[in-house]
Amino acid sequence: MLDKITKDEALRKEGLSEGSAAGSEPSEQHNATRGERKGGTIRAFGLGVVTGAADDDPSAIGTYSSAGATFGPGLLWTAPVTFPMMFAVVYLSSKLGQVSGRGLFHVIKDHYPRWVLWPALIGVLIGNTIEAAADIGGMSAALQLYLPIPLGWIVAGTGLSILSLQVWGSYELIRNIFRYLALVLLAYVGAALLAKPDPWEVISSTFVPKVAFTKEYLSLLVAIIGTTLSAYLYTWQSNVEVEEEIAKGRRRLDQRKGASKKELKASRRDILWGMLFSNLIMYFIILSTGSTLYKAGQHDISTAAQAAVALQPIAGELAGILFAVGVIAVGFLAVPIWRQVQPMILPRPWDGAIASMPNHERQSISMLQFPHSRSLQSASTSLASTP
Amino acid sequence: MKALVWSGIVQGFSTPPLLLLIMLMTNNRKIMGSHVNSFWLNVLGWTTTAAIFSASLGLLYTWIA
Repeated sequence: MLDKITKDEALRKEGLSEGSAAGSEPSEQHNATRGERKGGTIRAFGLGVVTGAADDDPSAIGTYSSAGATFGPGLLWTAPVTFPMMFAVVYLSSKLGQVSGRGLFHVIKDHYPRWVLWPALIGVLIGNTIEAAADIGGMSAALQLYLPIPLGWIVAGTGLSILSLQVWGSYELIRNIFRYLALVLLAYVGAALLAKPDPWEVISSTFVPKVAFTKEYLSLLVAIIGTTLSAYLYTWQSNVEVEEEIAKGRRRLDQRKGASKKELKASRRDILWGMLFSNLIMYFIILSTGSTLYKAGQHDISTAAQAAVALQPIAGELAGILFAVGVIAVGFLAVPIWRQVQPMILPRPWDGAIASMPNHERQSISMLQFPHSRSLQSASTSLASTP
Repeated sequence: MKALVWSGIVQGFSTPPLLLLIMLMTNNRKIMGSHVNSFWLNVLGWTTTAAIFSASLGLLYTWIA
């Protein structure tokens, strides 16, 4: 096994040093990118909104809405509590990716026995698949508000359209569109304020955690933790860091290894913005459902139409549309991220071969397979020696 | 909508072991070199790990009891 890794690594070095055009180019590129990173608070904000909004996926929106409807403001405290937690896990996995130059599961594979790797891998794959399915289901339920056709057809249509957009569409363009559509979720902030919740109750339930040891309460608590800290988020994060380093021209593992204090600081800031945005939306979803549905005695949400009621204070008749746009937008942002995570984790037999080709050739092959995705191409390099 | 909550619960159970691994790895000098976690990052990380483990265990307990 060790033998295989070293062989692969040697292969990769051989092939990939051609790609980085043996010279001072990589370091120049590197400095330029770092300069950019230092400059833009706006850029950091933008990036943060993307990761943050994609973390508030349809399944998260459903979970937060249920939390608000079932317990009113009772679970508001989870937002300030999970904020540092989210920051911790995402930053840790990002640091791991930056310093080791590898994705999360690659590092596990290299340093831990198989009985650790496989259960973790399988657990994440199952969790991701279920969440992606739940997200597509949630998007379809939101669509059904305006499309009077059977749910099964909508589910199939949604799944197919995500897939085909990924394969044939310009993923960058689509992501940019949905990134802005996801800002619709900010409507929850307005809705929560317009619903005029009792300020004293809001403050006390925000800062004083009250845990009830009932099945219902703990289920929602675990679901909130699961959706805010979902495994895909940090699997993805560690791979994104690797991908960014590759984009900077650090194609060889020994170039990618290690990170400067400055780089770590920049990613810390990016992550803080992202998590803040995601957390803010979470807080106001719970608050607005708590001050509308819960107050009205609707403690159980079973349909998208019921969940959309939470937006009525700000949108009135348009609440359904706003809800549908928000859910579909975050769904489109989130589901492709899983589809990128799965191949990052799973072994692909042709990886070694691709990785050892000169850069342009490798690129065209990856383009053939998945035209949209730069990350798959780099995932193939970072995971070239998966079991 | 129930399915959405359930998917969250499944994620909630797959997260704790993975986070434990991340904590062990980011404290491993062989992997991180001089970038092993600082004291405060460790406090934050381990508190998080403990918190999500106890939430999952608490829920398991209410299912069994």
